[in-house]
Amino acid sequence: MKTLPAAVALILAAGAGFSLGWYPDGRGHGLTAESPRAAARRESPPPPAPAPASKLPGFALELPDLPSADACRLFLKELDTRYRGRHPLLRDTARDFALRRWLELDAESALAEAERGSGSKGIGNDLFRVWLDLNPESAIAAWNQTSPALAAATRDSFLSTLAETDVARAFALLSTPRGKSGWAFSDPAAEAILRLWAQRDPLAALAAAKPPDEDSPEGRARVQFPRDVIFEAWASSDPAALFAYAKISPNSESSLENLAGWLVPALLKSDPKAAAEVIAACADSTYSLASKWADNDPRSALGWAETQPVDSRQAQAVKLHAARKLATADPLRDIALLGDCRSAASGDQGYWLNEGYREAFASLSATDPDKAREMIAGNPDLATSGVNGYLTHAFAKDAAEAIAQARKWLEVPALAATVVPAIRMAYSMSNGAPARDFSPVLAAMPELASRVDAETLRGWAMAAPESAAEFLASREAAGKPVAGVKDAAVLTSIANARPEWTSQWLSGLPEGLLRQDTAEMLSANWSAYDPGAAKDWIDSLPPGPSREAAVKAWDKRLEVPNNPFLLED
Amino acid sequence: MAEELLGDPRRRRDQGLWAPLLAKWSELDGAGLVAFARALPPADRGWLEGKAWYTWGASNPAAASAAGGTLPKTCLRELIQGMSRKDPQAALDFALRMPEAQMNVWLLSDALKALPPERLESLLPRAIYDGMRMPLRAARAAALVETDPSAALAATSPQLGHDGVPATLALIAEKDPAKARELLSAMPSSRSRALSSLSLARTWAAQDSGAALTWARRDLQCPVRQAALLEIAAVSGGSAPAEALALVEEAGWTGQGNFGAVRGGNHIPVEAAGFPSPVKTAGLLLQQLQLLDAEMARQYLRNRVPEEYRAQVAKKAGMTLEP
Repeated sequence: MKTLPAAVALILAAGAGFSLGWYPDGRGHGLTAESPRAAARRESPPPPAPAPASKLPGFALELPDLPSADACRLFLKELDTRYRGRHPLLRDTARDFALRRWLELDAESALAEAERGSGSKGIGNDLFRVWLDLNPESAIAAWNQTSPALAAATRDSFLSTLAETDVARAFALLSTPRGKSGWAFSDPAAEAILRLWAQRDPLAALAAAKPPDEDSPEGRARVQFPRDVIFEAWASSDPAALFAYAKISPNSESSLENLAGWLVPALLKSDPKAAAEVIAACADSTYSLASKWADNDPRSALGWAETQPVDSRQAQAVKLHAARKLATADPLRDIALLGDCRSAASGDQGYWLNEGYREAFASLSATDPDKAREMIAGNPDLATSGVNGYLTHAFAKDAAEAIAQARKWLEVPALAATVVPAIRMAYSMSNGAPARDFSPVLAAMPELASRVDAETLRGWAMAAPESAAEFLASREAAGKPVAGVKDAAVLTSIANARPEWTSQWLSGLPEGLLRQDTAEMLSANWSAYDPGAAKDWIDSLPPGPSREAAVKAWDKRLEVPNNPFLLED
Repeated sequence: MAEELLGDPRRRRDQGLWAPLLAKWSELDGAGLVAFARALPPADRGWLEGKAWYTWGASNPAAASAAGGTLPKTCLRELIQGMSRKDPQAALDFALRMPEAQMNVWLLSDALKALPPERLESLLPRAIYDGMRMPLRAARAAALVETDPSAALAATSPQLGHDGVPATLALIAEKDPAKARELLSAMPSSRSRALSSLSLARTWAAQDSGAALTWARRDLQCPVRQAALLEIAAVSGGSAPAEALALVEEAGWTGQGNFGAVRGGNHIPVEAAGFPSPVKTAGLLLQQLQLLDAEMARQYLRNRVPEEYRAQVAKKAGMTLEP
C-alpha cells in the first residue's frame, strides 16, 4: 500500500502513455482469426511509473498497487468497504483510479467486465467516462465495438460525457447507428448535449438543432423540444444576450412571450429593468411566463407575485403555478396561496388550481388528518378540492378507514355531493390513481356500482383483473354495460394480465359487444406472445361474431401498432 | 488552488483534480465553497455551483440542507443527490420539504434502496403521481429481492405504461439466474411473463451466454424465443459479432410478434421502444463487424441478409448498399 494524492495518481494514469488505439482505423482479422479486441491486450502499454511526491498536500487517499486486471476487479469490488466513511467524491476518485489502471493494463478485459455487468451493478457508464477522459478517439472506437446492449445502456451517459469536451462531435454521434435515439420527442443525451452547447455557443446550437424538415408538422413538433432546451440553457448562462436576441428575432418561438419564463428569473438577478420589460410583454399571455418561471424557480416567482397588486391576473397566474410546486412540501401555505388565485383561475388555470388543492389536501391528510378535516368542514370553498385530496390519500392508505370517513361526509349536506366524485378521482388513472382495486369500495358501498366508469376500471383492471372483469360482466348482465372500456384499454389489461383466465371468463359471457371486444383484444394481444395458446383458444370458440372478431385480430397479429413517440426505423 | 485550476485551460475541467479538492473544501468549509462558486463568471459558475452543492450535501447533509432550502431547481437537485450519498434518509426528508416534492423522490431512485422497507411502504400512500410512486415501488421490490424473491415478484404489478415485473425478475436474475428461471416458469402465460423472459435472457446472457442460450433454445417458444435470442445476441456480441449475427439468423429475419407494444386503447408502453428486432440487432452487429473487418461485413450483408431486409439492415448499420 502506498499513499498517493488521488488527483496526482489520476494525472499519472492519464499521462502514462495511454494509447491503446481501439481500432479507430477499423482493422480486423476475419471471423475465425483471433479477436481483434484480444489483440489490444497484447498492445497495452507497460504499467505507469511510480508516483511523484504529492502536489496536493492534505488530499491524500491511500491507493494500492494494482498490478493486474484481477487486482483492479477485486479493488473495485471491495472499494466501498475499504473507503467506508470517506467522502463519496473520494470514493468516486478511487473508483476512477482503478478503472484507469485497468484500461492501461488490459482494456479488453475491462470492456468485457462492463459487458458482463450490464444490469444494475454494471461499470459501463463509469468505464466509458474514464475512457473518454483519457482518450476520446479510443473511447469512441471502443463504444462502437462493444456489444449493442452495453452501447445502448451507456448511450446517454457516453454522449453527455463526450459533450463536455467535444460538443459538436457528441452531437454528430447522435446521427450514427449507435447514437440514434428511438424516441421522437425526448432524448436525455440530446438534451444534455444541447444544454452544454447553448451555454457555449447558443447560435451554433440552434443551427445544429434545426431539422431538415422543419417546415413540416412533424419537423415543427420535433424541433420544439431541442429549441426549448437551448433557450432555457441560454437564459441561464447569458440572459442579456438572449434578451437582445429575442427582441430582434422574427420567430414566434423566440419571442419575448415564449422565452419569458426562462428569461425573467435570470434577468431579475442581473437586470431588473429588462425583466420588467419582459413581464410587460407578456401581459396578454401569462401561461408561458407563469408555468416556466414556476418550474424553473418557484420561490423567485412567488417572491415577485407577492409584490404585485392583488388584482393582477398576471401575478395571480404566476402565484398559482408557483404555489402548486409547494403542495406536498408545505400544504398549509399552498392552500393559503392558492386562495389568492381563485379569481384568475378559469379554463386551464382552473384545472391547475384544483390539482394544487388536491395534492395539498392529500399531503395534509397524511401529516395532519385532523387539521385537514377541520379545514374541509370549516370552509365551503374548499369542500370539493379538500374532499378530493383527503380521499385520494385515504384510499391509498387504508380503504376501510377511507370508506368510514366517506360515509361520515355523505351525512353532511354541504359535503355529500362531493364524496362520490372524490372517490372516483382517487381511483382515476388520469389523476395518478394512488388506489386501484375498487372491489373493497363496492363491497362496502354497492350503491356506487352505477358510478363506476371506464376511467376507474383502467386502474382496477391492472391491480385486480379478475374482479374488474367480473364487475364488467355483472353490469352487462344487468343491462347497464360500462361504456368505453375497450378504448380505455380495460379489456387489454385484463387480457394481458390473465389470458387463460380471460378465455374462460369470456366463454361465460353472452354474445354481444363486451364478448366481441374481449375476444378481439385477447386474440390481438395473446397472439403476440403466445400464439399457440391463442390459436387453440380461437379454434375452440363457437361460430359467431366473437370468433370472427378473434380470427380477424389473429390475422393482424404481426402488425405493430403505430407509435407516434417512436422514430421510424 | 481552485483559481489555479480554473486558470489552466488543460485542467479547468479535470474531474480527477476537482473531486478531491471539492471533497476536502466541502468538509472544511462548505459555505465558503458555495460562495466561491457563486462569485464566478456565468460559464464557470454554471459548471461549478451545482457540483459545490452536491459535494457539500455529501459532506455535511445537515449544514448544506439548512443553507440550501431556497435554491432554484438545478442546484437543489444537485444538493438532494449529494445528500443521498451520505444520508439517504435525510435526503428523502429534505426532498419532501422542498418544491416539487413528489418529483424530487424520483431523484433518489438509487438511494431509496438503502431505506428500510417499512419506511418505503409508509410513503407509498403519499405518492399522488408516478414520479414518486415508481421509485418507491422499485426500491421496495429491490429490498424484497434480497430476502424473499417470490414475494418481490408478487408485490410487483404489471402496468400498461410500464411493466415492473420484468425489472424485478432481472434483479433476481442478477443474484441467481436459476431462481429467476424457476420463478418465471411458475408464472402463467401473460405479457409480463413474456417480457420477463427477455429480461432473464438479457441478464443471464451477461453472466453466462451459453447457459442463457441453452435455456432459451430449450424452454422458450416463438415469438418469445426469437426476441430472447436477439437479446442474447445484443448482450453477447461484443467480442464476437459474427457469432452474434449467427444468432440473429437462428432467431429468424421475419418478426414473429411484437409484444412490447399493446393492442387496444391509446397506451404506449415504454417496452415498445426497446423491443428487439432482427433488423435493428443485425444492423448494430454489422456496424460493429464493419469496424473489425469491412470486407467481411460487406460479404455478410450481400450473402447472408435476405434481400427483402438488406436495405433496412444496411441503413441500421450505417453501410452503403452496393448496387
